[in-house]
Amino acid sequence: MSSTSIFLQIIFNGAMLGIQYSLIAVGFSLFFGVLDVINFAHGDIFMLGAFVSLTLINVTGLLNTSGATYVFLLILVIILSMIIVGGLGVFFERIVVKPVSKGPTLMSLVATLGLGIAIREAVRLFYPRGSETKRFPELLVKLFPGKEAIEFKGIILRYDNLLILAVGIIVVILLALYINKTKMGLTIRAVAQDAEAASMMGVNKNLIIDVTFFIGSALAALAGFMNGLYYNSIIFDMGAMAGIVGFSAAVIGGLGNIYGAIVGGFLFAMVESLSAALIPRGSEFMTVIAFAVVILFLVFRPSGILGERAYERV
Amino acid sequence: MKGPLRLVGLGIIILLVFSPLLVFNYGCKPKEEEKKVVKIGFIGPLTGKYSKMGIGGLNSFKLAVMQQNNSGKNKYIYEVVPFDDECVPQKGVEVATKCCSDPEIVAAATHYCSMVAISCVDVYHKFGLPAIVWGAVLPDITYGNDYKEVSRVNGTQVEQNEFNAHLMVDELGFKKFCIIHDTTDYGRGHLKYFLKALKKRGIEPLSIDGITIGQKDFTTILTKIKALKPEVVYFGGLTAEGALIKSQMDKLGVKAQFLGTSGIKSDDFNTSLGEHAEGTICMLDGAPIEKMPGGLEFKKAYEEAGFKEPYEAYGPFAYCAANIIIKAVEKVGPDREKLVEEIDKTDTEDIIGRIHFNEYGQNDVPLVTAYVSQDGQWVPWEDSLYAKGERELPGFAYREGREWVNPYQGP
Amino acid sequence: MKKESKFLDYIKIILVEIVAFFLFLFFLKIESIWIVIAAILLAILIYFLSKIYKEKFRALIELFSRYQNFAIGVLFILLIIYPFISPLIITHSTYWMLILIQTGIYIMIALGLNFQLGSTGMMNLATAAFYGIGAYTAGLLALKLGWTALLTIPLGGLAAAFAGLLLVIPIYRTKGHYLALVTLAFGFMLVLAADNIEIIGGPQGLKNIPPVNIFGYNFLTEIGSLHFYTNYYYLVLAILGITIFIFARLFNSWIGLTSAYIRDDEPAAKGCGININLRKLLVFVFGNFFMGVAGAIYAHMIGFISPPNFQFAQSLLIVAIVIIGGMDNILGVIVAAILLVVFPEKLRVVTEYRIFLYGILLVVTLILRPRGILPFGPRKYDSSILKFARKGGS
Repeated sequence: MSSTSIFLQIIFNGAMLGIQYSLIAVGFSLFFGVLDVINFAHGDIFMLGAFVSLTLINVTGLLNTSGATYVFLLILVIILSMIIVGGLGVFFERIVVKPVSKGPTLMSLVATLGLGIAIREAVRLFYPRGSETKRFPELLVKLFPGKEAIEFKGIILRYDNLLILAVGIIVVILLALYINKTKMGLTIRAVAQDAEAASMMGVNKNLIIDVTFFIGSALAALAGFMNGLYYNSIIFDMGAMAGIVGFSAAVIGGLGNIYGAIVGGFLFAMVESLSAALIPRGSEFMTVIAFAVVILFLVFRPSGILGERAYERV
Repeated sequence: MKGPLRLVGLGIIILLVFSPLLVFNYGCKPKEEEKKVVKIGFIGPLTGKYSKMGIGGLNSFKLAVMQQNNSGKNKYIYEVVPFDDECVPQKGVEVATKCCSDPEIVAAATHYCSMVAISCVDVYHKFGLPAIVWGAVLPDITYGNDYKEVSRVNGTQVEQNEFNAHLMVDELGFKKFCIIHDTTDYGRGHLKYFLKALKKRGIEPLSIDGITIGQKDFTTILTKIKALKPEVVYFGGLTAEGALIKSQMDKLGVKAQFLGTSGIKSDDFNTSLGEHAEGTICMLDGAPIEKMPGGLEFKKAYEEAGFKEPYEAYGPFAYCAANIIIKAVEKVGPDREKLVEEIDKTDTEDIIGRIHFNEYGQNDVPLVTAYVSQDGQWVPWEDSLYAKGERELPGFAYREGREWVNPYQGP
Repeated sequence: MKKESKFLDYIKIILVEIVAFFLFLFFLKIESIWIVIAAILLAILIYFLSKIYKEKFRALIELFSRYQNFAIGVLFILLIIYPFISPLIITHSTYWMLILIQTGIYIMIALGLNFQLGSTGMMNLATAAFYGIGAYTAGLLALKLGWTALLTIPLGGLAAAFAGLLLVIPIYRTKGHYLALVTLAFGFMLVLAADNIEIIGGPQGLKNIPPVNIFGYNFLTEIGSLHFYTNYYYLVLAILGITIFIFARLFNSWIGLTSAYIRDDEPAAKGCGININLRKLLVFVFGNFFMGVAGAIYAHMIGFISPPNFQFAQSLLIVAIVIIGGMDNILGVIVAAILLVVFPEKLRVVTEYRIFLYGILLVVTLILRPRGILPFGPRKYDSSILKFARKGGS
């Protein structure tokens, strides 16, 4: 394989992973910004996204339809799962995250850790045959009858993967626009910067926190759905590592900084992809090499790539 | 506030006086029953990713014990004490210690995960508990030590991989292999013995790649393999990674035959891949259940017993382990030392056929069956439509440069 | 008058400890699901009692902190006689002894982390990795070179301490959750390295590490009718005692005070002339030493160590122990360790749901007591410190 094609393959793989990591990392930054919490259950929200989508797919009988009905139902399933998991995110926030946010940030870390464990095990125990690896159907192939992939400079680009990537990027752009151009986005940023001042200006702090958790969880759910489509399999513990990576990505970018989270997610994925391709036995080590790069990064830019949103109060 | 204070004080005194009594007297032994109860342990992964294998083994074990107890022919009544090793070595050592330190447990059937089994053999030796392995295939578990306490009813990776190579090279004529293995001792074990078997036939693999447990993305390795154009991709590892590899192989368009070991012989492999599992070949020690001398009866009894979970690949072995233990206890009594001696001499017949423990405690009746995934089920090779020529293996089509049409018709 | 009430106080402490001791034994003894229910009911009962009898409870806790040394002394006596009593009462006494020793080892690690995190505010998510370094060092030295435990255990500690030095640059340059991430990454790297380096065993780990052998006394020998694990029990008890002593003294010392200062308000501490970076480094290295010692003991005792023993999940367990125990609180750490290590073992009777309940346990404990079970309050100083301060200490 020519070096251009290897290079392109690396970029493409990195992008596919990166979009998923970014969506999760954004959640971490949002939650930290608005509530000063590190939510280690977020990875398991990602997992819930995948499982809820799978359930909806089966319940609506999506696989038996075709044509316009298919497309309609598909979009419905995605949006519905995002709403449901977004709602679950708010639910968990109300009963677990908010109560422990009053203490030091590290408390929230441990508490959400426990929450994550509980969610993971709950799926394993109570979802029908939860401990099994579940097949996630190749939903997007139906949209491209006949041809599955195009060949581009020596590498195979599957249409369904391209679609996943495209949707992900669109969502990320929409998110950025939302945070920056809408009133709600402005309010969220206000609460993130200084919750007390914001509430003095008439902002309903609790409502904003709910909205933030809803958005963060919905994004993670979308990432879970994408992950299912990409690997065609989901399992109850898929959220554990995803959460750690998402957290790392958010920190690299500067915890609390949405753009940073997105950059961090792609960066982490690119490093993984590069190491897997170029370093001998790199596939085994790719996550670890990415972590090493993270350490080096933090040594030279301790506040993250794009900087953390707050400065130390003296 | 003298009243409540008095009450609390009184309460404390009562608690204090009674607590030692409570502690010493609770759990008085019931009156002597007609038959003495003998406890035997069962250790396996009852939670976590491989819980299905563990529970399948446990159920089969329980079935054997139930049948023995109901037969009324025995001197003792047997009770199963299950332990969960979670497929984690440290946990395994802990529960092995717990099992061994219970004086009432006289023997145990142990482990599906090789990584756990290999760490626990020392524990059984330290405590002198006879332990029969029912599912772990790493050869070192029996061959790597001369502990009399440790024996095994199922086969090892040596026989599995020898048979693998025999089928693929000698019978089906494949020559170009790319090997993927997981980096645990289990995966490395498969690698070692498969390489040996290939070398015996004068074949060197085109590539060898290691992957870690829990890894999800194999696109880089598979891209590299695709460029090498092998006829067969061999995977030495377990279902979780195996299924992902096969799925990504198909997506990337790697046109080769997928070959696995007992690690992927599970229902999960087929259900999680659907039509993409079709045509995969794997191995399992022992004869297929229908061909086993007692296999059909076992199947029927298992279904009638109403277990929720399937008995999975190694259930029958756990079943036999139970029978071996019970037979030994009936002969020499519930004494660990005597049982170690007795079990070590095992040469008997059970549903899986003849069982003979060699000087390492390993059942050396070499029986391995190849299976092919056909319509969502693992079918023994000789019985399959592929062996009969009615369906074509993907490997055959690919090595002739043709496209392979998936004959999958649903489970 | 004073003498009488003091005597009464001592009696009260002894009574409470003995009752707790027997209740604990009782708890370990029972093997059914009723124990789970009973324990939960008991916990709820105690919670409500503490609310109703607020003053009584506070007086009781006050009592324990006033006569802390005496209370700890009584506790140690009870712990020393435990191995002789437990086989008479509990069936699986060897197993529980193993669990208690394991708890003791975790307490040692947690105390190290407590010094780093609770006292100085440094988040260390690689505790299990340093524990592992101690274990591997001791294991390799004993296995390949045949060195005795008298050497391997301290060397294990030193190895972990020096490994901490590797992180000197990140410690100097990063703060708070960034340091957390650095340690997290470091921990992962160490585990993966161990997994792939064949000389130290690779994923199979090290087997047959020789047991502790001091001056010819092999720890595999039984003490009378007691199981050989009892040797390790006393070893851990002794070393743990020393560890607790060291940390308690540190807590009350100038070092403890200034470390807390760094934790609470770093810029102000800097303004007082404390060399923040040097202190953080020393604290980090010192805390790691104990984690390494704990690992070394574990290696000798179990005789088998492998990379999965030392993963991120274990680090999180230690972090949970420190945070739930109430940071910077030695007694809290001990209580939390018992809660998070012994209790889940009991839950094995409900095997299927064990991990699930464990998660719920973490969540509920932190919601009900967000500052930890025994959170640290403002420090209490008696007149001797005031004298010191008046003299104008350095």
